[in-house]
Amino acid sequence: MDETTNEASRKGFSGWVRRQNAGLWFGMGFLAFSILFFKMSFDLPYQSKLGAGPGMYPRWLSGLSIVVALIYIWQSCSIQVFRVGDCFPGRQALLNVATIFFSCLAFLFLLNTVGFIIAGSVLMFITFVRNYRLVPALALSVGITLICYLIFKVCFSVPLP
Amino acid sequence: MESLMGLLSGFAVAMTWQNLLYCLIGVTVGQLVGVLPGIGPTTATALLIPLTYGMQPVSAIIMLAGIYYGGMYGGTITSVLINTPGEAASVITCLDGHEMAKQGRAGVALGVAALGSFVGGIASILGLVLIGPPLADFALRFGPTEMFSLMLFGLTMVVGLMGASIVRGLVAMFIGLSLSIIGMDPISGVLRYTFNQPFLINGLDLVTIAMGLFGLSEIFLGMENLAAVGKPEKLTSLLPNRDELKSTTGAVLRGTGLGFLIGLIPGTNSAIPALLSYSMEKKLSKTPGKFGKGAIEGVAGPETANNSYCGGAMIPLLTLGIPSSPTIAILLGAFIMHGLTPGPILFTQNPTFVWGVIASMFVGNAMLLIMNLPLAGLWAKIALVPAKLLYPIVLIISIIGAYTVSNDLWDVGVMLVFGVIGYIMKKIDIPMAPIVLTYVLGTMMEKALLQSVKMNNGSLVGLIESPISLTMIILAAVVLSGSVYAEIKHKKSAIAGEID
Repeated sequence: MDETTNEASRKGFSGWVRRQNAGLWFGMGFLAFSILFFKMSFDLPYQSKLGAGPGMYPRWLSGLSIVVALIYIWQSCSIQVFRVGDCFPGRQALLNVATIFFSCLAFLFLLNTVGFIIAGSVLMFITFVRNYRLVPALALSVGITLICYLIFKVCFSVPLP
Repeated sequence: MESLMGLLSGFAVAMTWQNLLYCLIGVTVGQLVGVLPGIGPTTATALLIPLTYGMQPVSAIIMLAGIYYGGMYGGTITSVLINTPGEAASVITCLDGHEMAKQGRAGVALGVAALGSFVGGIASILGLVLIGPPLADFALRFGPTEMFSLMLFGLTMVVGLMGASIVRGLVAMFIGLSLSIIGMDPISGVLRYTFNQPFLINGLDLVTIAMGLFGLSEIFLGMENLAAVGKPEKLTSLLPNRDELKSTTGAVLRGTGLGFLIGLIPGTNSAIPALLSYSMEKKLSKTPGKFGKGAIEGVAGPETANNSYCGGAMIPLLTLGIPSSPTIAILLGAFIMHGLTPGPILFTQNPTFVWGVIASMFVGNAMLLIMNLPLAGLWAKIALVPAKLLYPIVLIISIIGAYTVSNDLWDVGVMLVFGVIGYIMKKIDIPMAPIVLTYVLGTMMEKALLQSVKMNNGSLVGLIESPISLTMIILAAVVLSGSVYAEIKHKKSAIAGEID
């Protein structure tokens, strides 16, 4: 039995998540997005003095979007079911992915306060520390950030803070 | 004759030392991203666009186009030497290329691939030289009505060809179209879906969306499995023997024609001609059993086809202003960013630019041939950079690239959001290329539609009154109903699914 099947059969919240239909949830998100756009299209005039107004195209587009979202949800529930546990990786791999995501968030929060070199080093360190020892990870993080800073700031005049 | 004169003047532009340098940078970066698994030409092109702000338009596009076709060459090396395709178009090369390498014939596989790529690349650019100007002349007859119908046809091709399911293709298409209406209305200037946020007034930036969907999502996927790749096979002779030369020549010629023709079709990508060429060579071969065990035609045909595709794919962009693949859509974004309007008027208004770019593609292909044959071993070593080191480096470069779009963290945030969306979409098998393509076409389509309605006094009847428009609408309906029929009957080609 592989890791994903093991995890899918797990009980509790984690097991519940892994048994969920990923296609259905994505479809629901897309449907909500389409309904929001459809509702907002009524705030825009459908016609104008020039003919078609700024609301005509968005109204038709979002209306058709709702139809497509409903078909997709139906298809996800009946024809091709993507269980979270089957299409997403196991805990360890997902942790690697989450590391990248949170390192980006850390960068976003830090950049304007501490500047590129520190924020970039933190970003790199978070991604390296799980795969390298502490000192090489730190050296790589600072080194690569400094090289990037020099290349982009000096060579390409990118106004990095 | 006019084309020849144009091409000669193009060489005068392409051969200046600055443009030669930018062409070299472009093809080298293209080769590099082709070699490195996980970073494709789409990401690399999007990444470098912000850095071209201060450059001359012709130099910028020469460099960015170099990344596009350079990527096709690079992917071959790692497919043959370490059985790891650098990009989608080279996946099929692994089958016979790596088998040849294991038999001690890596050099021959790479030599044939490089020569085939060069022939395919040059022949397709010649096709562009011959077909481009007359097609652009014809396209000058197109008004907003015809342009709308043409783009509608392009959209149906995108949805019909990409992905294994038409419903999922439609989901991607509507996401792209919906994103394209954020910002200022193209006719009246009314703000739509901006939620009173100033950074949404001009809509979302194509570069950040593409970097998130194609670049960051690929980093997420790559970080799931940080397995190391194997050591490269050794290189010996680069040329095939006399017996192999005949079958190789046939495969190269067929690959050239196939790749060029598929390049003309919107909604395709370079992996399609490569796969079709492989299938065709296997069917035509007297010894189909050799395929998968080191057949030289299995390397020559697909590698030629994917390079030939690149030249063909430039035709809809330069003559009609319609992108046929995600990388071409990014290039179209670069055109607009540099104040150029891709389409038929480009040949008349900016002939120096168009011919300069076309001529640079001849030069770039020659550079790639030189870079590929003697330096193949070196490129293969670059691919051995461990993923745990490579992906964080690509991540920080992507972040800087996104930040450069408007020197604001907003774009980094947008890229992050689209990275997560792209990662989820890859997991549930929704194609991403239609999002970028329809995002680019969406604004143009809406503008063309509104102009057409205005010209016809508020009526849509103009769409069926114009013969060109009517033909396009009928073709769109045929493609769409064909795709729906194929899906219902579960007969849709397995190729499309494999590609995405």
